[in-house]
Amino acid sequence: MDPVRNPEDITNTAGSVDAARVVLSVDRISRSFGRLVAVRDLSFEAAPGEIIGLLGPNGAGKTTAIRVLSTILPPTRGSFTLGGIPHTRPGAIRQQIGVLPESAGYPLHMTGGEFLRYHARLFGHPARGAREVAASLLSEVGLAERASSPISTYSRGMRQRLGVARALVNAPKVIFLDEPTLGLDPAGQRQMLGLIREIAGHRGATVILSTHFLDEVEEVCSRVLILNRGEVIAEGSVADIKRRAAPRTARVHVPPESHDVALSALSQAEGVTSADSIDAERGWLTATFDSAWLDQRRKDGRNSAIRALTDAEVLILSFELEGGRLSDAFLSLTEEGQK
Amino acid sequence: MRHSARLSPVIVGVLAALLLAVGAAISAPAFAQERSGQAPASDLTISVSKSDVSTLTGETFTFTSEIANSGSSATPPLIANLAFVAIDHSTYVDPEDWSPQRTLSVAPIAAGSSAILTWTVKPVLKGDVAVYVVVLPEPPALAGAGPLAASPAIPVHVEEHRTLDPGGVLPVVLAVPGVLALAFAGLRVARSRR
Amino acid sequence: MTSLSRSEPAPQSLAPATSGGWTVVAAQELRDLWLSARGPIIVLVFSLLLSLLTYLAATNKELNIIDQKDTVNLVMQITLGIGVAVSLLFSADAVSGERERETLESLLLTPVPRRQIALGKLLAAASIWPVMVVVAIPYVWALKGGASLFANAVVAGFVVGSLLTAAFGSLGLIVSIFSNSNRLSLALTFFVFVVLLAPTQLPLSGWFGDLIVKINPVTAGSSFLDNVVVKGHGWGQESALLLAPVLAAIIATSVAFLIAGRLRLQRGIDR
Repeated sequence: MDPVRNPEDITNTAGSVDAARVVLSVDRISRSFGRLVAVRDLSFEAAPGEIIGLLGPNGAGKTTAIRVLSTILPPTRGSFTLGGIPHTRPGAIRQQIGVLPESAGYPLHMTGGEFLRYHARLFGHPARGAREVAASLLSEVGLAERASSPISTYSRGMRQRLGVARALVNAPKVIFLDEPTLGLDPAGQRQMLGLIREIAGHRGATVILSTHFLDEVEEVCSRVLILNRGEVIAEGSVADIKRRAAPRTARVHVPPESHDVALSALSQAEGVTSADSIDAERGWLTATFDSAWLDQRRKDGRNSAIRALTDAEVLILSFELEGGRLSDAFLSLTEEGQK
Repeated sequence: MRHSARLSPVIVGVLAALLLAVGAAISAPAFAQERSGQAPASDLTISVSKSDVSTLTGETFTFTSEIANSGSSATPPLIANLAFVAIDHSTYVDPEDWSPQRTLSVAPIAAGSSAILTWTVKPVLKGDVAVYVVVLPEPPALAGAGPLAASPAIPVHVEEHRTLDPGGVLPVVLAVPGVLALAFAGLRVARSRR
Repeated sequence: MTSLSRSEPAPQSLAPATSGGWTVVAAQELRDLWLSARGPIIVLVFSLLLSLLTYLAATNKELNIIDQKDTVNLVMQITLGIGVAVSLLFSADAVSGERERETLESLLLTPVPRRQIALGKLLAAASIWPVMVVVAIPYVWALKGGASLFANAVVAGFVVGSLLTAAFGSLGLIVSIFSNSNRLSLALTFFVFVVLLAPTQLPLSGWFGDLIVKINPVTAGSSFLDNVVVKGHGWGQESALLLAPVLAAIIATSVAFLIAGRLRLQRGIDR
């Protein structure tokens, strides 16, 4: 079975968006730069509290997509609404969103507190309200003690947290985070992912997380859009994509003298689409399973393969199930896209 | 025919006198002036009230020049010019800088009378300068007027006057940057403390 | 471990800073300029220059090398030239500088309209001019020109300088919007100013010289100041010389605000 190419192949089982709860609706957004089409026909919907991963290799169009949806760039074609506001009212949309850009710079002479107060005022907070919001957010992201320090003294992780705080200054409905963990150490990444979970969970905001770190997506995202060369090549829950897009295979080691018998037995086993020899002299084989059959069984299907081998009186030295990881799905989909 | 053979002595005398008069009129313009009643420049003498001056830059001094007409008729209208010459061969003198009175007009001076002019000089550079007055007739008498009359030169020795507070601007010159520096420094300290 | 507490929902009455956004931007830019070292250092250096100039001018005035009116005019002309040039440099940094420092995107992500962002920055850049005039006032007074000469010089200088600051500040903003490089926008804007300033140092005569003086806002403004302060002419008599600075201010400011509305992240404007 082919990996999922058509987003409609994935039923939005985990991310089924009730029309009444849609906070972000994107309809065939495209953005071109001259002859280069950076984003083509991007469509999806998002509900409050969802964390949607925007996954793709470098140059896939993730940042361009975020810039279009955050009104930095106008779409070449298509439309979107955010909180019921059409994209033709960018000022009103900006009032409802928070963004942590990929290449966010900060005025280094300002303190973290000054920076947040400034942006709170730009979003309409009165002076006193801005002070309170800034203090509260700095505390929430763990920068309260560094509020009076110049940003120039902040580490990369601290600046990213400041950026998240800035993105929350207007209590947005939708937050766009473009590569928020880039350049962070593992502890920093962990902290950032925790923040993201809490933004969606406690604040009820929709998070659009653009990243090329697959483990982040697996950890926090409820739905994934995989982009390649500006187009969505897969959409669905993480589990769906892992299941449908990644072929499941088993790597089997048998005694070399049983190789041919094992190959024959596996080829005829239920749920196995093909069996191939890897190294006949050493007794290594691989079996590829039918993903749909696996879905129905809700098991990894190794039982039928093992049963077939034992029925053929083949000694099993080792049996390893491979695939089923998001990284496998990602590579499979993007490699297909590049062919 | 007998009457034109010899010219009458009377006629010759009258012709000679006429020729002499015409020749004198051409060669001696002073005689023509004399005929109109104006004294030549050679009848003018100019004296000055100072023989030498030692002063400092920026210090004003005055002197008078007396133009005396020793001729027998009045002078035409005159122009008196104050001239400066650097006698140390190095000082640059721009007359406009040294005196507000470049030239003065003098009304015709009657015969035997004189006119007194007052001059103000303010040296702007140190050095040695000679100051003198020259008198010219105003046009149309200027044409063919002959040598001009000039006064004796007054040697002026100028030393440099150093003042720390020219025009009283020193307090402002020092105070404004000082106040600004203190104000901004104070602001920085207040901000860093906060 | 950082955590987010359960937050109150955003107050619905949070008024977007659409109408007053320029005041917020201007206030922050003014703080950045005057509470940091940049503005104060420039003003301090300017006052030192004026101190030197005033001292020399007073010395020369004592010696009658230059007239009192000339000394006052000289101080005002220097103030005009430096004040306008510095304002221009700050406005040329307004957008291209933010691009280079990668802080423009955050600003564009706020609901403040682009024009108001530009207005706030332009006002802050132009604030250098009145400050320099205030600093120059004690020097002009100290040259003891008399109350009427003092008032005339300061008011005429302020008017001319304000028009030129508006014109060149707007020019700086326009160049900044179209430039990705801050160095390029600073250099280009300053070059234009110097080219227009150069004729003030040349002896211009004849019909062509008169034309240059009148159509070049810098020479026209400088000549206006000269004629009013030194020659004692009336404002009405020399009003023709204000035409070029007024037109330059109106045209440059209008164009700047027209294109500022389409300001974008990369250089240029949205079509």
